[in-house]
Amino acid sequence: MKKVQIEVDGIVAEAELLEDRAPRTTAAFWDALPITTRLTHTIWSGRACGFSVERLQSVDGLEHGVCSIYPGTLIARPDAGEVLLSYGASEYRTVLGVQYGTRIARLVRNQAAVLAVLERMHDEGDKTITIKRAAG
Amino acid sequence: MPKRIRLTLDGVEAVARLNEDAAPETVAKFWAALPVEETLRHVRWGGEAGYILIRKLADKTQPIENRISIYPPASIGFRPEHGEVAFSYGQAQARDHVRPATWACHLATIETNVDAFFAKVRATRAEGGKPIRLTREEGR
Repeated sequence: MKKVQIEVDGIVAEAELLEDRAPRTTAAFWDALPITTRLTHTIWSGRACGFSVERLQSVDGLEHGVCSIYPGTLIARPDAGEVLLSYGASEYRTVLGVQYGTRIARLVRNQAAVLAVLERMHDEGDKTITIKRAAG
Repeated sequence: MPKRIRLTLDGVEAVARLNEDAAPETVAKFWAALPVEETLRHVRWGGEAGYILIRKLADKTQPIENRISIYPPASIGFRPEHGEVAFSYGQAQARDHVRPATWACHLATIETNVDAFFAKVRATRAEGGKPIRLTREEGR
């Protein structure tokens, strides 16, 4: 199973890609790595932060669509070229209401520390996120 | 003469007119709670708005007067169940983790220095919380 390393504000965590549930979306995400970009708190989806991955727009449609975003999971919305990472109660929403997204990964190492950084973003504002393929 | 409040957000001042005729009970309680000093943060569920919580105004039994769900730009909305005061600079709605849409009281409308004030509200998304002070605008 492919894994990625996620670094935010000096905290490093690891997530595994859910390739069996979302093969096309995880492949596009993997191909887009490494990424260093701005991480911004969502304004519609609750306790989650998001970043842009333009390459995801090449993926047609959703895979294994979900609305709820559980803490430590990454949800992609390919048409928006967007990925959200949740740290608490969260649901994929836009100005139009509740939407679906594709669950692409879940944190498997150092989850609590990175979620604490995301929660602080409500007070501290944007951060920089780096995601790269995990060694091995 | 309608009641007005002065808002000072991270050094930027604005004045808002309270909707006393349409929301007399809410305005009376809000007026009595002033002055208020808080940290304004960007909303997480409701779109393009910032918010503060005035805990002493939280009251789950208080009826919602002058109801709105979609916040008009430059409006100040109040949700009594949380004591939440929301300052909308664009597309925004009363929402939370349970309800994709709910109600708020249209408490006030900002009348002066609208663009500069809401630029500061918008900036809380990228820059984080900012200090805000709400006072009665009296004798002016």
